[in-house]
Amino acid sequence: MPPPLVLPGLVLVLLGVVVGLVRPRVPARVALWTVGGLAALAAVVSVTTLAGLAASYLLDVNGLGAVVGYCVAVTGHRHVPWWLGTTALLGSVLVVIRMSRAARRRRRAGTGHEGRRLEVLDTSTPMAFAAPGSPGCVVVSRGMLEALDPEERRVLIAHERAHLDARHHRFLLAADLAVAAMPLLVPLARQVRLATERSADEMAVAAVGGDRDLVARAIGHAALAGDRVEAGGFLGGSVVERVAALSRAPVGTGVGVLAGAGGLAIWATAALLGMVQVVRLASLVAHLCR
Amino acid sequence: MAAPRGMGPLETEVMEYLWMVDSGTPAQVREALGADLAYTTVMTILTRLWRKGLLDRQRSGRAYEYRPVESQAQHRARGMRSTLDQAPDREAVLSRFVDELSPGDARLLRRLLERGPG
Repeated sequence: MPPPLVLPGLVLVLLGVVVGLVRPRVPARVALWTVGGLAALAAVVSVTTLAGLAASYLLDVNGLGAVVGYCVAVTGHRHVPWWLGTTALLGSVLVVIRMSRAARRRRRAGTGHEGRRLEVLDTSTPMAFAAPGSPGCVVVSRGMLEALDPEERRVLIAHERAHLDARHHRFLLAADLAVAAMPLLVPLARQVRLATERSADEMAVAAVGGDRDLVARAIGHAALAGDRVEAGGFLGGSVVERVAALSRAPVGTGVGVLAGAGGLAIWATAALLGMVQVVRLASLVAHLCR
Repeated sequence: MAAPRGMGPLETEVMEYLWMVDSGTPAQVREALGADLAYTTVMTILTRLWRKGLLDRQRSGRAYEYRPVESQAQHRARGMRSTLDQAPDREAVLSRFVDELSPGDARLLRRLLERGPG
């Protein structure tokens, strides 16, 4: 008997929770790639699960199954109750709309700052963010600059520039798409956001010559000055977690290698689950269309 | 913000950054404005700004460390003054300028004038 169609999705949600527990203890870059990749794969699994349910249901619909050569032995086919089937059909439509909306929102994030690399907004509200694009623009407000000393400003700019140079918006897009496909993945998306911030912090540390205390101080001062929501980028994620991570020594190479291996194992698991769903869906669709 | 006179967009951004952080080497400036910029491009811009007298430089190891000669406010004020100096009808330009100030800016200007010089 094949495992239930929704099992891979549930396993991924669980994986997301486990990764969230381990993430603060592993190198920021490894963590980011692990949770980012997991989010992308989770989006694939969610979409294929939903489409699989819908396809299975269509095979069951009276008459339709016979027309398309319905056969109980179809790989991955399971009987789907009508309420689940119709929900999956409606859900599929909803998910397509939600995902295209999420993608459009992310694409718009960089507009208005094209062709510039650094922009100062003349407002006393402390805020800073990275507007992706080419070359990508770091936007800071006068209010944020006034809250920081020159060395801390160096950190602020390095942090935002790190988001752009490391293309963090792609990881965030994967997280948004995962949530659009599966609302239960909100905690995983949060992990992705935190991981981009931690990663940018570590890149800022490197940019200011390894001074972890300076980076922690800059985040602290910005947090004291800023409205958390308005400040966006620089105060994204948990300020407490970021400062705590900076006050610890950087993670050793041994842990890094181990974490990398763990990340690859998680990817492999998620990819396998994704593949199972894709194969299921493909065989169902093949039968539906014959 | 409008580009100060006689500066390209990238030059403006380099100045903007150096005003924020006080000083920087070419490597630091390049890191802040984007890794896609060529090191030589940044060096050329810094050298040009130094020739224009906008930046001071000092050896720091193998590279130069650049720092703005005057603050951003001083720089902008000098730009406004030199525009005014070029005008043959100073009074007309100045009165027009005052007429078109926003209420907030007008209040600010009045307060500054009442405070007197220094």
